[in-house]
Amino acid sequence: MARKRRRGGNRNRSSRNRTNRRGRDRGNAFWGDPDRLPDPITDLKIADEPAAVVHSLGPPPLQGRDAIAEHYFTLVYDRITMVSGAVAGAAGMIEVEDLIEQVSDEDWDVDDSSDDGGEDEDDATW
Amino acid sequence: MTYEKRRDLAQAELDGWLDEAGLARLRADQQGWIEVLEALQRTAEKNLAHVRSTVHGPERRLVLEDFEADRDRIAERLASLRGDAATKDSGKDSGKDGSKGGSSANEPKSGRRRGAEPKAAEPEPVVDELAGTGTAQLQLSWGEGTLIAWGGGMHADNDDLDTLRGRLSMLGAPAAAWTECDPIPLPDGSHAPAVSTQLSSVLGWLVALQTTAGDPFVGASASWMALVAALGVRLAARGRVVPQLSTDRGRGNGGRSDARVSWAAGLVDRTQLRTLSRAMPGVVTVARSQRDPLLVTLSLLDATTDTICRQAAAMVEVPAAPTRANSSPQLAEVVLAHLNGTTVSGQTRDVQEMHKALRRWARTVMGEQHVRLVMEMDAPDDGEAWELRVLASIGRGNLLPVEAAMSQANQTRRQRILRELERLERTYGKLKRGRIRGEVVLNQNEAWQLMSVEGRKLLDQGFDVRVPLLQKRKARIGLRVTAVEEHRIEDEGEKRSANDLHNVIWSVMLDDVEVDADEIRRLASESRPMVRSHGRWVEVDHADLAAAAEALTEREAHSRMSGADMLRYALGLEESPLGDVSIAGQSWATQLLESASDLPEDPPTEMDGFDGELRSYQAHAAAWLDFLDQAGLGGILALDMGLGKTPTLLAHLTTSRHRGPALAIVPPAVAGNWAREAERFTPDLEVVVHHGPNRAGLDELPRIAEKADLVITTYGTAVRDIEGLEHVRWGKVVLDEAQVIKNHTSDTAKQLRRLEAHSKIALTGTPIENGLGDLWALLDFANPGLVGKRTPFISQLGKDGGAKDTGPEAALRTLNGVLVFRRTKAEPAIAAELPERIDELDLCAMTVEQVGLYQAVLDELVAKQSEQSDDNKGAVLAAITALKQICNHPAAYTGDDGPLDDRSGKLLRLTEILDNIFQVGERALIFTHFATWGDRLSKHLTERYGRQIDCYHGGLSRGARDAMVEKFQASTEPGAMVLSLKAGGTGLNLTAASHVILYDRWWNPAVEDQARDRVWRIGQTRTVVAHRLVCPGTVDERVEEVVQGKRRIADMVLPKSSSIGDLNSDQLRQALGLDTSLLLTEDDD
Repeated sequence: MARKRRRGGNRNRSSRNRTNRRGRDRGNAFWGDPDRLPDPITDLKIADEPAAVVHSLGPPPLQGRDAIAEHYFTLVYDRITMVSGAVAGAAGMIEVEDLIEQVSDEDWDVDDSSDDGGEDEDDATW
Repeated sequence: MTYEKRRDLAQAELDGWLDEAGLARLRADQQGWIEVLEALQRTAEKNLAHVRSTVHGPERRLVLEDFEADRDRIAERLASLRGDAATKDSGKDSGKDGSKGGSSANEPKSGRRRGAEPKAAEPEPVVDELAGTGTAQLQLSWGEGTLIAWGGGMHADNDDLDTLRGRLSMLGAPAAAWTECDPIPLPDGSHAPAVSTQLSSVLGWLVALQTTAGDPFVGASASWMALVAALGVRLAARGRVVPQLSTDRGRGNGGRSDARVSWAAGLVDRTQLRTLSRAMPGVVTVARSQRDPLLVTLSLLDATTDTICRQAAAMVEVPAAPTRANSSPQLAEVVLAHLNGTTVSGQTRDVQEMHKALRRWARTVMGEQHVRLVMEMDAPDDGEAWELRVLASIGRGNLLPVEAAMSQANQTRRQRILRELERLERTYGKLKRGRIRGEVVLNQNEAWQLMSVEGRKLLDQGFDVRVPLLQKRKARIGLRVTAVEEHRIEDEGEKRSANDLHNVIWSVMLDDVEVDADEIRRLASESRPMVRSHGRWVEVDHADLAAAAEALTEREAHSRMSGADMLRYALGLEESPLGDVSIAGQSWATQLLESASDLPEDPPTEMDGFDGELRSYQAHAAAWLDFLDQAGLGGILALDMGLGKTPTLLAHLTTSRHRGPALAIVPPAVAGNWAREAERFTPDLEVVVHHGPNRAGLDELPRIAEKADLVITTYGTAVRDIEGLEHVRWGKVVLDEAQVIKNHTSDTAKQLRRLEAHSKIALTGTPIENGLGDLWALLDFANPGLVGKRTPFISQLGKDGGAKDTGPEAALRTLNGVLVFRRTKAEPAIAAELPERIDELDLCAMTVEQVGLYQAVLDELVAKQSEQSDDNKGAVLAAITALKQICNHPAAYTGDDGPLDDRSGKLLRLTEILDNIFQVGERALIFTHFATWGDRLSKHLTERYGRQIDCYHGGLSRGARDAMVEKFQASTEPGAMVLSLKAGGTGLNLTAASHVILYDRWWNPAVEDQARDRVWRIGQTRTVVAHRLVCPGTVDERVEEVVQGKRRIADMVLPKSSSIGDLNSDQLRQALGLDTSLLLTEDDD
């Protein structure tokens, strides 16, 4: 009996610890753990050609309004990068001076030595 | 005693003002005392918990510290009463607890034992400050399109509305944006009062919270939402957003539906998205039904991009258009006119079709399933064919050519790859001409375009581009001359020399790529010539190739040259039409340059025979001198004034003494200094000072020199004794202050060229005073003929170091490390190593006029003394003053108005020092304690240098003196100011100067220190050089000895127990007379 009690005691204590941990984990899952959050974004880049992505999709399905759509998109995307830059500047994601003329050369220096071909798209960085 | 009374006494004891009687009453009932303390402890804990949750802002820390101190004091008193040390510790631990007091869940076991005591309260576990610590924080939840704020935390009371608004205000949130909304239901059954707002009202504030992870006032939910919003901002900034049509999904109003343009995030990095969604706190979704972290993350991301894009679209002026469409074309027009998200309406069928069509159109870049294609280009082994391939992965495996990837992928992924490939082909049309899909061969021009311009655009469009690195600038072009065969003028077996003739071939360098004439022709035929240099591709200019071809043709006939010729090319001393010329092959010049580049990075700072430690730049200089010595070359050691040229050279002599004796030719003012420094640093060297009337005769010179390691002489003596000196085979000839020979046609320069030596070294801080001709004169002395003729030397170096650069310094840099070793105090690495102040003693010669006057004054004094007048003491002091004036300048004593030049060795030395100071653009203060002489001196210097050099003295008005100081401090030009030691010695701040020249000496060293301190004080950022001018063998030197503490003033002139008036003639002559063994005269120069 004593042995059982001892086992039971051990199990109970262990179980209580697990319960506490689970409870704590649940608490963390709900309230969140600051240590698990990714790093802040501080290296924001402004696109050289803001409408490049949307133009790569081809003409939008807007019933023959392709030309005007391309024109509007170009104007709107220019403003989009402008507004984004302003928000980013106010939030400290980018130096205000960089907004004036930012060149994303760092992105572009792709090292040709990385020819392993095995890089998963998940790992692709830019 | 009542409980209240006991409590008051206990509190008074805690506060430290309880008297003995009160303390006795407490001690009489120690258990009761403990009980009231425990009650006080509980109260303190409660107060502390309340403060923690309610007090914020800058005063929080102070308030908390006060309450914690109260609590700790009670715990300590309890511990001492219980006699349990562990309790004391636990008391502190418990201080971080919540309101229930006592020990914590984490306290030591000894603390738990205390829990068995009948009166001790068992504590409840409470956790500390951050999430789950009992402290309320700002929490943000994502409702259905709205942002909800509330205050709470694990085990913490929820904020009421006022507290919540205060919290938002404290965190900088726009106050007016928030409206009260339904309370937030929490897992513990409670409801937290909440406020909500549109994301557009607070986006900037929210994004700024992205750096708050771990902030005690901001919950992880708020930090997380900020991070997602920041990602949305980043995507929008890169144009990674696409317009979509959001519909009301219902039919109504006669088959019409409302819709609006919404802007979705595109090309979202999957890893980033998953990392964020995995970290999402549950708090975020507490107010919504859809709680899938990935979808919630995407929802907030899209809301962020939508907010930004709608605001941006609203800034674009478009023609006014109705919001109601009755046909599909009309709907397209209406949608385009309302990209700002205004609600529009159309036929339900049209709306639904457009919604689907836009989704199909953009799906390849939307959501988390985006397939990232890789464009990979290899450089050709030969020719111009650059192979470009498109690769894709079919999961987490290796990248495959896109065709193969599509054949192996499942249907869904195949479609995704195909759509992305179509997008790529649309963007990069050259892919369409390949026979195999996703593969194409590019020509050189196309490859360059991809590497330089198009690749960047493709990256922005979400494709991965892996191409060889391209240098942004074009290739630097230069010539190379290679020695291919050696023809020895001298006997075989001898070392290579500068005169060896070599067969050479010429080639062209494009960066580090050597090309011959054939290769140049081939490159010139290409549309976009490129070469690979240092692993990067570099474009070559067609014009450069044409110039290279022409240069090679011109040099075909120039197929033989000497080692010296090659060195001149390598040093940029010969003209080249194609920039720099490099040299290669086996030759004297290449070996020399290799040796120069192989100098040790950390040469030793200590060496055998040198009694001291060199500074690191001095050690480098000594290593460079060793290199010259090995090569049998001469050079210029061009250390700035004060950087220690003499000890550096002496250090080098310890390693090169085997070459034979060294001859140091120096200005008379520094001859004594050389001897002293040699004695101090290199006591083992046999040093002979060869100057003065008692010097060795010409016949004796070779024999004396052979026994010596170092012979020190002056320029004047060297020229006079050149017949003897030239017969000595010197290991080294050193010219100190070598600018003396900058005029190569001067007699001194010509005579000194007669000296033969294994190596000749010129020491100077200012190798270029008037122009590059000065530099040529020094180099041609050090290495006769090696640097070519004077005119082409000046022309070639002047071209490289022209006005656009810093001129002389640029020329010195060209030669630095080979024939010149240049270091300046302005170099940060040098400045960091220097002491704050360098003291230099300059010994000055006496002119014949000075010696004559000096002797006359002394004779008169002796004559007066023999008359035994009553005022002997006054006469002696007057004579000392007169003698000091004569040392300064005869005119300072006589007061004559004659010209000052060529009458005083001290004035001559002063101008030499000022020449050097002005040459390097610095400023100096000149102190004298003779005000009249100072005034005279300033006028003389003003005239000599053509710049105003003021005299600051006590006779000026306060305003004039202030203006003078202000003007001096404000100027950044080279300049100087003369100051009377008495008026200028205190209270002035003259840190614009970095040199102090003590023209004459004062008995009290403190007075001189004060003078130096005008410059060497707070605000001074440079090393200060203090020069002391002294005429050796005169009363001047005896003052110097007094100042140096070597004798007392009285000792200078008086035997013990004597007075000035008691001195006899001999004593006077001994005290004040000229010591001819030490005296420097103009004859020496």
